[in-house]
Amino acid sequence: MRHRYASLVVPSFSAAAILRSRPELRHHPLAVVAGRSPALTIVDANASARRAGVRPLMAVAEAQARAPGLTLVARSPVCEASAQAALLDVALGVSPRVEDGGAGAVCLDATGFGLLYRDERRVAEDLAARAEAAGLPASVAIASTRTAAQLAASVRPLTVIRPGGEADALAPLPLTLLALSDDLSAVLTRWGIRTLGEVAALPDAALIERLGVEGRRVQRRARGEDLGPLVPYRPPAVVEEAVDLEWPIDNLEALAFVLSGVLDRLVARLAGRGWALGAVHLTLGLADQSAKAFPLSPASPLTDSRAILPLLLQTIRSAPPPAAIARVAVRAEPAVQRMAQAALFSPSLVSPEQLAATLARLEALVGRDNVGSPELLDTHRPDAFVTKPFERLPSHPARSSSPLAGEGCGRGNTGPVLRRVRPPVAVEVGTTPDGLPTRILGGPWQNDVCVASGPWRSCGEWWSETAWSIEEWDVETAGRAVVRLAFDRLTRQWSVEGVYD
Amino acid sequence: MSSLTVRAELESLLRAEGFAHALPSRTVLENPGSERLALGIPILDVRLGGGVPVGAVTEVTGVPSSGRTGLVLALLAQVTGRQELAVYVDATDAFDPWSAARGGVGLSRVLWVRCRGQVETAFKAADAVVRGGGARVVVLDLAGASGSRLRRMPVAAYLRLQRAVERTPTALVILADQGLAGTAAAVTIRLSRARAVWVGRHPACRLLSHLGHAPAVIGGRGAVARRAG
Repeated sequence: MRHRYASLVVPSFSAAAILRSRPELRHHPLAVVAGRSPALTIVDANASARRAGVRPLMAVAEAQARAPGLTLVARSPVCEASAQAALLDVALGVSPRVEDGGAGAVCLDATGFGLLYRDERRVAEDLAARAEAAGLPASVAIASTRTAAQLAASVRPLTVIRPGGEADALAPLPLTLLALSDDLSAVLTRWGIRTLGEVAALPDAALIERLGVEGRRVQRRARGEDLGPLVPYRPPAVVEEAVDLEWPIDNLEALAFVLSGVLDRLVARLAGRGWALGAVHLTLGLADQSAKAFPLSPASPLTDSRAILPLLLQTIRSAPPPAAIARVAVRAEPAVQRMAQAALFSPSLVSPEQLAATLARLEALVGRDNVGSPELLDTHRPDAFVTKPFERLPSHPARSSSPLAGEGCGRGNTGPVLRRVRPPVAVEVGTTPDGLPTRILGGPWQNDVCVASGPWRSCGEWWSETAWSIEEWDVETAGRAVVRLAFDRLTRQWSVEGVYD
Repeated sequence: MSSLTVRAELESLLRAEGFAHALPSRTVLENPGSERLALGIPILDVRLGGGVPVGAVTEVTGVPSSGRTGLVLALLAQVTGRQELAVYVDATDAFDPWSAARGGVGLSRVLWVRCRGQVETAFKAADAVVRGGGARVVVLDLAGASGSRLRRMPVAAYLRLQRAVERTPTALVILADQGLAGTAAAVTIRLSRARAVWVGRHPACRLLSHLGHAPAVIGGRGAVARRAG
């Protein structure tokens, strides 16, 4: 099978990365500047500014004269990194074999896409639409080599080069697309060579004789040949979106606005690859050069940024940062959204967003350790359980690890049920010479014992500091309260463990 | 007089006076057999007209060892047995997972909120859970809570819960030593303590079989106090 490759190239990538995080500037002339004032240099400009004549390396004053109302924004490596990662996610959304082509360029293996699309132009249109949805307007080209696809995408919005026609398609393109070294560029210019076709037409042996191996490499690229195999991009375990703020933020409303955009982009990137959002780690870079982290673990993977935002804001409210915020970075662990088959007559499950919001509110009220599902521990130690995070979807009964066989069977049992006294309350207990409790002294249970059942002895973990050895008694007092007493054989102390109710 | 009864009377009065158009689409009178959640205790389910009402507040009251917690756990067993979500808001941290599991409660479908003696927090948690939705039954366990703290809770707190649970598929059960919710409760199940039933004579081989209790249902169908059994 003949290989086909698609290349996505984002023109004016620095400006596009800024516009992705600040879409409100999209329809205004914008220039990206670098350096320190007053020696600011324009490094990139959006289409609107370019139409007005703004070019990279132009002085700021000249650019402002050419484009009245020009917005100057500092170059943001953070935004560019997020934009590049988003572009790679767009490619990964359609193909598993993706190569990172550097700033604003991505190449993907489009072999076999004919089974999914009517023709390759549809493939290119779909990729362009996906990139647009990710906030990155990209040019797309499809060819039999990665080099040809990338060079073609650098000059035209949508290009499909037929197999074998790479050299012809690239021939009229300017030589500047190859990003040659200054020396090599000067030599070729002296020779009167202006286009890729003219480089491709040079005799091989003579070219190598005059320009060496580098000349040969340039010629192969000009013919649209690949110099090496595709180097697959390995997506990181976490997805990150970050934004540098032009002015530090010191109030929650403004932060919510910024955070909303960051989360929207993050969720869109994950959704493009069929993932939901698992654990979230928000890092706020502060104006005093410190950083404050806010981890968040939703009860269930989420796909709606509107559900995550209030949870993050609630977390920030509980521990506000000590200084103004200069940078917002959100890292998210991709998670597979668990799907459930609903039964016809069973009630619908609570939505993940609803559940996450409710659990977050409860955790804010009573603390994280006090919310969850109890799970019994396989031990005879009294009151042995752990509280585990609540799961939205019920676990399969066969996988239940409960030490009790009847748990969850739904059969109501009207037998004695204990209400625990936590921690157990120490009491004095009067006993007969053979140890039978006769009276409880102290506490609200103070009374004579009418009926006693016991002792029920248990002990364990004698090999560790958590050893226990107790005798339990179920007693009914004269006031008809039925109480569980425990006698600790290690400390020789009586206590009330609970009341039957 | 329960809130449902008052509401039903008001609805009938408005109809009689020609103000039927002012009534909401689903009224108590039009929906007398509203959905109920069975407790799995036949005698009580019959008295309650099928179980505790959905979209309303049910109060279970009684002194310690009157069987009120067992009653609530029986409801949780029924609900979790159908893989529905139950929330147990535990004001005094008295919930015993081992007893619940023995009673057939599916612990993985129980969301346990431990408030460690904070009554106000328990009310806020119950409110958050009811408004959050998704739970089939929410138990607010106030039994054994400090009397002074309970007295500080205004009646409006119970009415707020009642308003929150209305028109939801959730049944809210308040477990308490004595009646607290007043008119906010559609049904009150009052249990009184009776002698416990023991099996065996000698202490070493005697076993607690079950607690004796005598439930009385107040409100619900007919709003007449009746003693079960």
